[in-house]
Amino acid sequence: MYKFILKRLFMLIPVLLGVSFIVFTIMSLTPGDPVQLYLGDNYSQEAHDQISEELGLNDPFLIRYAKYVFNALQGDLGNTYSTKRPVTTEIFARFPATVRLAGAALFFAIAVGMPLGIVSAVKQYSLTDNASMLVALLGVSMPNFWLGIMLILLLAANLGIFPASGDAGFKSLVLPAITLSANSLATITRMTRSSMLEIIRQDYIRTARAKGLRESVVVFRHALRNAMIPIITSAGLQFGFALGGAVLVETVFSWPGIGRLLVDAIKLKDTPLVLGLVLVMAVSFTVINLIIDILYAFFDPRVKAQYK
Amino acid sequence: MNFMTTITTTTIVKRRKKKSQFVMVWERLKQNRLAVAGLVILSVIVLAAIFANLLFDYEAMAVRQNASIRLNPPSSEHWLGTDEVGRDILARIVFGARISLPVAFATILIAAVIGGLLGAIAGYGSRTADNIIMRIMDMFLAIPSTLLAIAIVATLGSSIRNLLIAIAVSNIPPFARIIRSSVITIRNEEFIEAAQAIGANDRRIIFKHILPNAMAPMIVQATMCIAGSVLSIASLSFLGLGIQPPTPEWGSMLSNGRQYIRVAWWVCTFPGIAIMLTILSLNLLGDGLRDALDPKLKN
Repeated sequence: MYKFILKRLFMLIPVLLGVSFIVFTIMSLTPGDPVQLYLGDNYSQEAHDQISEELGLNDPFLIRYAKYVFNALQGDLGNTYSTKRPVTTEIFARFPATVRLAGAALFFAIAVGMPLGIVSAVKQYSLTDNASMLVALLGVSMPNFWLGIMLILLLAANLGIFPASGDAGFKSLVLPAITLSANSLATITRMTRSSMLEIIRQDYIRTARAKGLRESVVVFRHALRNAMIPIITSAGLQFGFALGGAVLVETVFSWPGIGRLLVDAIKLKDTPLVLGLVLVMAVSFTVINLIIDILYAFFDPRVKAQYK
Repeated sequence: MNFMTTITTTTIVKRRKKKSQFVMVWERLKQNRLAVAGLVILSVIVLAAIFANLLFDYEAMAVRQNASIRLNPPSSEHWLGTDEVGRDILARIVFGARISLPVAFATILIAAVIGGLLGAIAGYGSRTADNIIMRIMDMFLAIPSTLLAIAIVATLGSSIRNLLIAIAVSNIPPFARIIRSSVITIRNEEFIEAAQAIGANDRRIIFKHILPNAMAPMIVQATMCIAGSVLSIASLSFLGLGIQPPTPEWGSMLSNGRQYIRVAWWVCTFPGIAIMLTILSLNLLGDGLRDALDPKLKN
């Protein structure tokens, strides 16, 4: 088991190097003079030369990349152009807000999506089933930023139950979390249903029923445990997508997370900050995938046996 | 005796009218009510986009600003109301489809061709080629596709061309992955061995024997990806990184109308419904196609 985790951790290294290389290349292609962005409008030629030497912009591309990686390994992603503060400081000041939002969204998606999926599968073709499949279908088709605007329109602007923007306690978390969870909720509901449907037709479920077990034991202990793997996969993936989707939802709700920071950084052409943010998001996404793989082993003894 | 049976079965098979693959898939698709619904909705949107010029005057209704009728609610004259500068929302939605659908289609076409080619090389070529291509694809997959598209557009600057590049690039890895896995399955089939035995070269085997058999998952993936692409276009434009105003585009309509939702609910509601219906119809069609193309569900 430890060997498996260690092996997967080592496999992270080339992926991270690759991701940083891709992002670094994209960013280096940006037209425009970074020094000008760094110094603002008024500067002398000497200041220009000095800063471009300081920022290492005169070095060849590969040297710059190597330096970036070397510094990144020591936790230094450079300074932002706009505030001149370390990129890491800026990112980690905002990171908790996004994690809180994505976590709340995922929690809501699982808490609602899984029961809906289970009921849909157990009572296939019932009214509940059809209704929840319709909701799921709308959920995957809805742009989440539109849902956010509609929720603001209905629950914040008209009824005034929740605040429309900002981050001030639990109440302000509700609308953005629901908005961000819509796609995940739909996916998790569909996944739970199809996974449960497949399991529920297995012979051992019939056996469990035949030996007189209560329906709840059959559904939860025999069926659900075996149906968990695809559900965990999609839930984990959804958390990763939530980090990406947060860019839009945070913009709609003025949520002070890294998604909105990214949009602001792009508008200010703050290259080091954009680079750092994309890197941090990609790393989180990769780490989440790793955690899912490890979770498999806990839920499925068959997988565990492979890595003994 | 054996010889005789073979002959009889052949004649029986021949006597039945032979249907093309396309007709068979179509017949199965027709039975799926949801897929048909998706197809109908999509056709309406496509037709409206094609004949947009006949329905509305582009200059007068979708672009020209008219302060006297700003933020008018839906009425018999403006079915879906007017926006903050007095443009007809229905007209802008219909002309918006002229941007979203072709751009989405083009991005997926580019992604499917490049991704398909890479996947075919990875699946059929040497182990080294496979490893190099798929590890690079893994790296791209490690970045959520919306994020990748945002990063690319942010770098290249916002224009339709760059939007196209960004979304196409972010869609290449899933195509490469899907084609690679079906190529690997097909490569080991007996008919490929047979083709090799009669001396067909690699190019012929890939294009004549493998790719046609790998088309089904590719078509399903493409339908779903067009839906994703429509969403990406709208998302990027919503963030101000995609199609620039005054060109009517669904995402930027939402972004502009956002400030007015307290006084005019229709400004944001309808463009969002347009996006949702388009994505919904493509998803329904994709689901239906997946079932119709699945040989396991034949008959």
